[in-house]
Amino acid sequence: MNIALNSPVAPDLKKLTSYLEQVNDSGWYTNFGPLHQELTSRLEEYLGVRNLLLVSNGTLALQVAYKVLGISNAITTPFSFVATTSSLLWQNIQTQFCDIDSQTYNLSPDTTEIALQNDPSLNGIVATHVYGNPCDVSAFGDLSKKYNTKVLYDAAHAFGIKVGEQSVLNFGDASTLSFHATKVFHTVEGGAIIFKHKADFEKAKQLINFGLDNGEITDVGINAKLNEYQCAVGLTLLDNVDNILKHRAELFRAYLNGLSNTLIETPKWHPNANYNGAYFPVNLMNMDNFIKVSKILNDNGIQFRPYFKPSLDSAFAHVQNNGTVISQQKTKFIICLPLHFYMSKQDADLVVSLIKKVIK
Amino acid sequence: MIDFCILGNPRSGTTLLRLMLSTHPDITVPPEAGFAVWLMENWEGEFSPEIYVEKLCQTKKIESWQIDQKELTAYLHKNKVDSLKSAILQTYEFYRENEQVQFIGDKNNFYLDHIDTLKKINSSMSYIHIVRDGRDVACSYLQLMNKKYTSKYAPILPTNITEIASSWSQNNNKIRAGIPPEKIITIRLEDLVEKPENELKRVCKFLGYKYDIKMLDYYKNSDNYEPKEYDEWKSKNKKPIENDNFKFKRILSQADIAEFEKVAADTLAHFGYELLS
Repeated sequence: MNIALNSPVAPDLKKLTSYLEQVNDSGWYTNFGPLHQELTSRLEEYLGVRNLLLVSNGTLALQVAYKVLGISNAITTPFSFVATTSSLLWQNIQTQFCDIDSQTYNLSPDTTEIALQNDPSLNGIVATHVYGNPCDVSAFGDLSKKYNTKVLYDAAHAFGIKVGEQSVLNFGDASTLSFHATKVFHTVEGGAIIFKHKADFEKAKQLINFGLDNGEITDVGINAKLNEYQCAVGLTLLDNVDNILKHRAELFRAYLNGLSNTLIETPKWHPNANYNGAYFPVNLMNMDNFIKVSKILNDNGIQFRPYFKPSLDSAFAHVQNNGTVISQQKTKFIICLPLHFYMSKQDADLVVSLIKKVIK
Repeated sequence: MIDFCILGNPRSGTTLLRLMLSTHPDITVPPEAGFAVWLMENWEGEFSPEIYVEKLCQTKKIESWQIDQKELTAYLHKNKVDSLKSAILQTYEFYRENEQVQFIGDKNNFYLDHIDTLKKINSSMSYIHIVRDGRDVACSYLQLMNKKYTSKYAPILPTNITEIASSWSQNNNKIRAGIPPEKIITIRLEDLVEKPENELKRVCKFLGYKYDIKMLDYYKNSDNYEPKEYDEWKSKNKKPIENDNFKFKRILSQADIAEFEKVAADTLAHFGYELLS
């Protein structure tokens, strides 16, 4: 393989070891230890958020958030990673798909409103900032007030994204992050929930620790705590995260500029948002393009991935579907191009030039 | 956490903007106190929540925050605060939660000489820089010079036109130089006075908050937001906006205008103020 699709950032071992020694010295390996506290406060400051709760992965982040927000009947997007929907179904939450916006590929507020009008029992909107591109947070905020529903954003791709100067994680009742090794910032496995209200944060903190509060069982909980060794990885990588985001955003721009004026489509980015370079999706629009691009990338050892595919309504056919034509259409020919910290701008330029050889 | 900070030369509308933003239902900007920077730069000895709260309550102007010492100490313990920086940020959180709003800002002219400390306290904070024509600032300084104050917090400002021009220019340039451009929005008091809705929408968009028309009614509740003691030099904020832009043309002599412009021409021009001499 000449250019890999993704390559997790390796923590500096010297720095990591120093953190791990701190853990060994303290003898505090999990259960909200000193590194957990340090990573929490540093992430809150870095991201410009409050009420951030670290958890053991991004899927549990979603599940805990649903439970704390009391979401029992949800609308969600079919155009997302499988965990957005499977986490709802895992908890027996009544789920409905609504279609996405044809330009941004995010859940459409218009189709969501129709579903809310038709079913007053809906009490949650679960929308993904797909590829890190912020949803129409203003429109979903209005829907939340109008129909008295909770809004939860799956922000697994949106680390470091801002709308204006405001972290995208500050919109809605809660947002969830994934710190999987493939993400722009990671703790090998891990994640976080950012709550709007402190009371929800406190509740979630109990739930991820078996529902215990000062040793007393207060609720049906689960174990979703992030341990100290994983926090050490996070702290090590956080020192370098500005460089990582900057480099990835430069690669994103290189792709965006290189592929403008070609017959392929990229999702329309939120006008007031920055890039974090989490992914670079291209919609190749038809089978002919798809075959030609796949062949030239494969022939040159360049890894790519259809992402997202399939539209989740296909995978979960029993889920109520309020119309997912656009999602079905977009998933057919969309791929993500290689994008990671160890790639160079020349690598991105090479990918662009190869694609341009077969698509004008 | 502190979400944003208003910076500006004295007498440039920082309090007006503070009151406007505090009237937004999701935002609070407490009366200026300055403890964050002062404690950060002057702390000595060991840290504990008890020591912190004791020292906090000895800092200038903190009485306007009306902090319940026992409640704050308990709050810091509950949040396992173990460092000065964390205690400072949690004090803002304590205030914000008591106000039951989503965002908290800060404002203090004292910060102009301590921008680096401010950045150390909260690196993700955004900044709003409010600028007023320096020649109008000079008029304001000169008018205040003739007033008598009873408050111990009354402003002490230069009164010589050359010094005023120099400090106005330096202060505004410190803000420009100290904050990365993507983290700061600059507005002019003159524009805020003439088209408040436009400018407040611009500020809200920058901060990522939804604009709220209630901000225009800031003066109706200013008693709730600003200590009465400051009325001696901030009484204007109790009235609707009065367009007093470029009053220096009526008040300053030709010689004073020329002197001001000699010292601060580049800075005036940078912010789009026409030079008259």
